[in-house]
Amino acid sequence: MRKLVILSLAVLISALFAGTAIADTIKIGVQAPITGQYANEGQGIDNAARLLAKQYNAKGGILGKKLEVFTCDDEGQAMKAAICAKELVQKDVIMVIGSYTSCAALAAQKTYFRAGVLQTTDGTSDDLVKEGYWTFFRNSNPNSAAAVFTADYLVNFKDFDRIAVVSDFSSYATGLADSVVAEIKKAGGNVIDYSKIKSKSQNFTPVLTKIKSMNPDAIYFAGYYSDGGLLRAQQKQLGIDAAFVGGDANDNEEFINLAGSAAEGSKIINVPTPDMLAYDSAKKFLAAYEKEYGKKMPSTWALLNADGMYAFLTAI
Amino acid sequence: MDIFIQQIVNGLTIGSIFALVALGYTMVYGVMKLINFAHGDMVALSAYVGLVLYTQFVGSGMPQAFIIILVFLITALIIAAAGVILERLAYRPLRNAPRLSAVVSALGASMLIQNGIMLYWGPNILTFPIGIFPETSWVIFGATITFIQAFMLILTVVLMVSLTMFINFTKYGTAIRASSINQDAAKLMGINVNMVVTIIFIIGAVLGSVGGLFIGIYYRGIEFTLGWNYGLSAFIAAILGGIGNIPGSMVGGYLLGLFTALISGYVSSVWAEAFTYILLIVILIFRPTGILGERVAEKV
Repeated sequence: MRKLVILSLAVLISALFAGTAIADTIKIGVQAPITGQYANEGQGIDNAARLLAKQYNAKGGILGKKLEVFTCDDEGQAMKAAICAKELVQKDVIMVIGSYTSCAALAAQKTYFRAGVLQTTDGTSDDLVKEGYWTFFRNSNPNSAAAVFTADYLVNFKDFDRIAVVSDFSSYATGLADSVVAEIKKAGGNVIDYSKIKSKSQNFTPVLTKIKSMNPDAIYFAGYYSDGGLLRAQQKQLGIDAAFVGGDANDNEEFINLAGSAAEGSKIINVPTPDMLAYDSAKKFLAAYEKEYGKKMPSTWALLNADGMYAFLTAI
Repeated sequence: MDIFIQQIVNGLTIGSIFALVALGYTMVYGVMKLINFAHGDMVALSAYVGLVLYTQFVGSGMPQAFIIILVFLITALIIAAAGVILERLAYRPLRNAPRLSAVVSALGASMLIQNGIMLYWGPNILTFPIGIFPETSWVIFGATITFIQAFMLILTVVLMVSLTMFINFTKYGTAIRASSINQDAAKLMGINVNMVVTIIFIIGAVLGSVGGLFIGIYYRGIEFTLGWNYGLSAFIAAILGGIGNIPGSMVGGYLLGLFTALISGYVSSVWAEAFTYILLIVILIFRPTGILGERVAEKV
């Protein structure tokens, strides 16, 4: 008898949950590094996604349904990303925006593929599209394309003779640096050194000292802004005159704060920044973002993610 | 040759930070046989406190040298107070509990401080302003050494010499050494072990706060998880030198800094981390108690 009661209770509860699942909202997941060293970017992505959802809701939503945003913090790490993916799938989201780092997007994409949840990211690593999941959409330039441009810029445009390449151990940075090294060689350039730094370790002087002994013309850094700013500052401190060229993930205001006076003269290769975009819709969205949150969008990456979300919503 | 000297300077700079932080681990372990996992987060806290104090003082028209001294002193005071509170709340109630309980309490305290920092100061990177120290640098045998680096090295050595004198030549130092050999016997001799533990936590926190300020002033970017990064390296340094042994963690800190610099400079930056752990394993195989650790007879 008691078993029967429990059983019927269980059926009742599951029916209750099923009821909420068919609620009249469209659920959207945001998977982004809200805390940790890439928090600046993650919060930008979250803010942008919520703003876009708000704009849609103000116009009455999509297909008569309101949009609801759920955020999960992956701290930019693969391990946390896998947990986030399960959590968001359990919440019955139909699409996921993010994540910022390639490794976090990579760790989550299989879970979304199995659950049939759409995913869009700004990740640029070439590994992201290797599996060819139909649920996965990338809204940014792949590393291999950036590498061709970078190599051309370094070798042909700037005529750098001796180029030192530095990256960290993340899937994004390794992928980008590998492609850049290959492309520089293809373009007839000379890569004198390819070193790795440990992200967050802050102490990059040993690697820089080694590079200094090789008399480089340019140092190319494929990695994130939180390390790039420090790398540039320590390069200047050691008195290395070489030009500093950073990969696209250095494109964040924090880079300038960290590098301090050394930021001057350093170059970062990226797709156009938000305020350079010529499209009216982009400009309007940026203005709305500034009005809503009282600050500028941290970088172009938040916009790329919002753009991916916009594409999904338009498709619906 | 100049590159070699430069790598030595690089290694000594980061080694100073490791050694200062390692001393906090080793002193607490020496007396209480407890790994104070929250120590790294106290270091992070001191960097944040230092940044707040500096931004408060910087517009006040006081001379820069005076501001720097004030920031170091007040930060040390605040972190010392925090260290005493930490010991009272997280460790003293568990003094007679199984050792594992105290370790779990230490981990809990670490997470509490780390997340407290995140809630209060936010998860973003904060940056120390430039120009705290003059941007002078000297070239010695072809190696560049900046004013901050020289300051860090000198202050670390001064602190270590004073600590060694304090431990070896004062009444309190004798009490600390006695308590680390045998707490019960020390109690029977009339030593107030509670007071010794408080002193240990104050010294550890003060040295850690100097390390935290060095991180902030030299590397400039601080983030709420920095306690884990530096704490782990410093903990390795403490084990390398022989945990519980004060000169040992000084040696361990500098050795770790120099070793990482030379490996990433001359062998391979990709394998720097792996080689560091190989060094640790090799040393522990031949000297299980660390480089300067003494062999302790097992009590049965």
